[in-house]
Amino acid sequence: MLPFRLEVETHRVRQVQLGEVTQLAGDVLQINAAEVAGWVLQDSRIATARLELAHPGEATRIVHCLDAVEPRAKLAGPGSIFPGFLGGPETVGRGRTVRLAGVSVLTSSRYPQPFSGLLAAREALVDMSGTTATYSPFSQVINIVLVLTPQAGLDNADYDDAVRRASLKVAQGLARLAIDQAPDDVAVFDSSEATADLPRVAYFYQLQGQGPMADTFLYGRTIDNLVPSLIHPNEVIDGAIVSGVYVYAAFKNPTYLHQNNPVIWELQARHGKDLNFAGVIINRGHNYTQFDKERSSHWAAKLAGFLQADGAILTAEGGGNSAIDMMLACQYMEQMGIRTTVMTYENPGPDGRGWPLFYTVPEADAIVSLGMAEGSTRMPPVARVIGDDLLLDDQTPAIGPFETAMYSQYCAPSQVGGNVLVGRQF
Amino acid sequence: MTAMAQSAGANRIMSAGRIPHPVGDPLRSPEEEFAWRQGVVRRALETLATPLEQARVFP
Amino acid sequence: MLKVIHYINQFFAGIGGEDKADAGFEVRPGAVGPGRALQAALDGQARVVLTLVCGDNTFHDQRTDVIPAALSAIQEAGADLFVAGPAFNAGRYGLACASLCAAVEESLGVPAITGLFPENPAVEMYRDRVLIVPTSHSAASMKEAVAAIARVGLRRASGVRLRPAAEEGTIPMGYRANWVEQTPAAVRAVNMLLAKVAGRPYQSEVDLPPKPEPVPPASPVADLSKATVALVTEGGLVPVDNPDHIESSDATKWARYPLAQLAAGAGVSFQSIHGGYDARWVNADPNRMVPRDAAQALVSAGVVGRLHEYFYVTVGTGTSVAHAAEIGGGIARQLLADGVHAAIVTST
Repeated sequence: MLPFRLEVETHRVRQVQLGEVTQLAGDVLQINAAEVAGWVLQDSRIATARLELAHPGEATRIVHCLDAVEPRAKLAGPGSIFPGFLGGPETVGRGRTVRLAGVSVLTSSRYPQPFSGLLAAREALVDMSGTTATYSPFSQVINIVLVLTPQAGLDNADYDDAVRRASLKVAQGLARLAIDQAPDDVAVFDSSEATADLPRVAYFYQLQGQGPMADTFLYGRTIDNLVPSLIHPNEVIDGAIVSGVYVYAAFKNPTYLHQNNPVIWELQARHGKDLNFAGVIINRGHNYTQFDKERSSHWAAKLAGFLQADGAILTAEGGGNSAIDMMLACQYMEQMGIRTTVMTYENPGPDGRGWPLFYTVPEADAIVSLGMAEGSTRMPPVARVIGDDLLLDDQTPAIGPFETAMYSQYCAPSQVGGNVLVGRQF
Repeated sequence: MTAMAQSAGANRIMSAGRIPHPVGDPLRSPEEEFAWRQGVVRRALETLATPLEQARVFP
Repeated sequence: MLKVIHYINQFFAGIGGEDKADAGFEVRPGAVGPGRALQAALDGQARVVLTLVCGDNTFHDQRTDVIPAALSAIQEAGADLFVAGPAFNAGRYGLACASLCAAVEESLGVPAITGLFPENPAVEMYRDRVLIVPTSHSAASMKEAVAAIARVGLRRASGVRLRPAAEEGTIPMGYRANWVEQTPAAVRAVNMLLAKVAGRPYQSEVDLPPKPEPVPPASPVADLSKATVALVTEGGLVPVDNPDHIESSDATKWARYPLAQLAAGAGVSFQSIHGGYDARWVNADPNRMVPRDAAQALVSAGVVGRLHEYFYVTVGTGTSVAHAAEIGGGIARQLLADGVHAAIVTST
């Protein structure tokens, strides 16, 4: 078998500008907006596509954010980037992949049909400067925003599929501009050789799977019936996991943070130095019953055992429901002698004095805090808004100032550790 | 979620359907679903009539 | 230069010990006693303009007079910072310092700080309202204590946000909030895990909650066939226009609606506004959340006496424990007032 060795070419982009020719020149990415919009408009489900840029430090706000994707393309090796969407389900994670670092393709749109409950229209905001910029990791990258509108008569699920394919396609198209150019660096992702005497560390990677528009895709299909499975970290890097979660902006893991999952990158960086990266276990969160949660978590713990893990890092996606699945996995791993560290956001109430966690097990005695998205926050006036003049309530001018729920801040307490927030005792 | 109910300190806990429909089962025919639900409610009533010293998860 | 007002008791003002504890409240210009060390520690950034002095007994016997007098002196002087003590492990003095700080913060909005030994009873009473730096138990450590008060006090007076308690060197006020941490979470997680695997010490960033006190179970329903049972849910099932504006996450409200309205053909359309589960099945048939049809059939069959005429609803997702407890208490009181014997609560 071809070993899971992946070379990742990084081309650092420091400036993006609109121009005649779509090209990468050094660290400047130039985009012909009409040309790139044309890639998107090949899908007849999308009525209009506009491309706008947001650089860090600008007094700019992006509203109605959906998914964020890092530009990536395959240079060599089997399969396609974002397998199952831009190609068949052939196994990825080998060969050579190119990425444009420092930029994200961010989709912004309203949905054609009204939502209620789980999917009630909830705002998703990214501010590019000021104190509110600490509330999103996407304040730190250049966002190439695709502002999209649906064809009349389309239903939400169909449009959702169109939006997802649009952002993946643009991400691939832009990354291909780097082919044959000299990269800033090349990182090798290969954890096949273990070093004796170093602890084996597995990653328990729980994904949201809560039904349409609250789902994650694995090789192009939802994880609805996923039994905990092993996946190679390189497959994740090549876009095998794509986000379709539009519940609360603060608590989602967009595709960009799957591609750049900080836990995977850290474990890979330390592989052979102070640990052996034993493998990745993906688990569906939001299993529907206690029985299903126990079954799934036992299965995940067993896989960690098969990996001969000495320890595991656990992350989740979603709220209290999903926290139970993760905490049970923590408990079962500890009972098997596998030490665990749980990464979680906190929920101590607006005054910060309540219980910080939804659900815990006594074994969860090593917890890393990812911060919190409690209460509300004041969004200052900005010079420019991308996406819409009004928020989803159809009343509030998006230019600000306005008061908004903290859970509207895009990835504020990023559940894979993608942001800078931490909860502390004051 | 019996585990969540336990951690919150509930005493009479019983498992029923699934999170999105705790007293429903869309996979059954309407008649079968109603009969099943009636069984769930009957069990719930029985737990209410059961003397208890401490928290219990009823099967 | 910032203006500081300092409070000390009769002992530190040089009036005398326990036998002078009934010395009256007085205002002296400038720094007095430990105020001179405080002045030095303020390092030219602030000046102690007034010192308030009061005997420990007088403060407690006449606090309704002393506190307003102290507040008006502080207000008149236009203080930027109020410092009380440090009082170390002194009981009455500690309480005086802490209660004055609370009054100054809450009535005047002037930043206030004191220094106390962590086991001083005033700490437990006031820590959630008052900024306190920990000191040793005795005045032998006056110099260090005053330096810590000056350092934190100046930051507090300058308007910058204080750092987390452990970094700032203060006694935690008992709330958690966001902070920006430059070491990425994944790095902290791997470090923590490797320490745990190797048996080295590590510090969890979130403590596990203490086990809640068990609630004594309610006595069983003696005779179901005579009981009134209510249906309650946290599943967010409300009339489509959500007339009571229950929030779809971290709800603060509950409502009740006539159970009869849930019946097909009652002319009221219900849907779930709950922000935590896929509601398509419940929207198609509300009995899947509030089992009205089945419960009604069991009433007809004589299994249970009657159903309470309302069902009760809130939303239980992302809900803080404090809100949940308020909601639960509110529903329970209403059920008791309406003579309900038991409730079936469906949860998602």
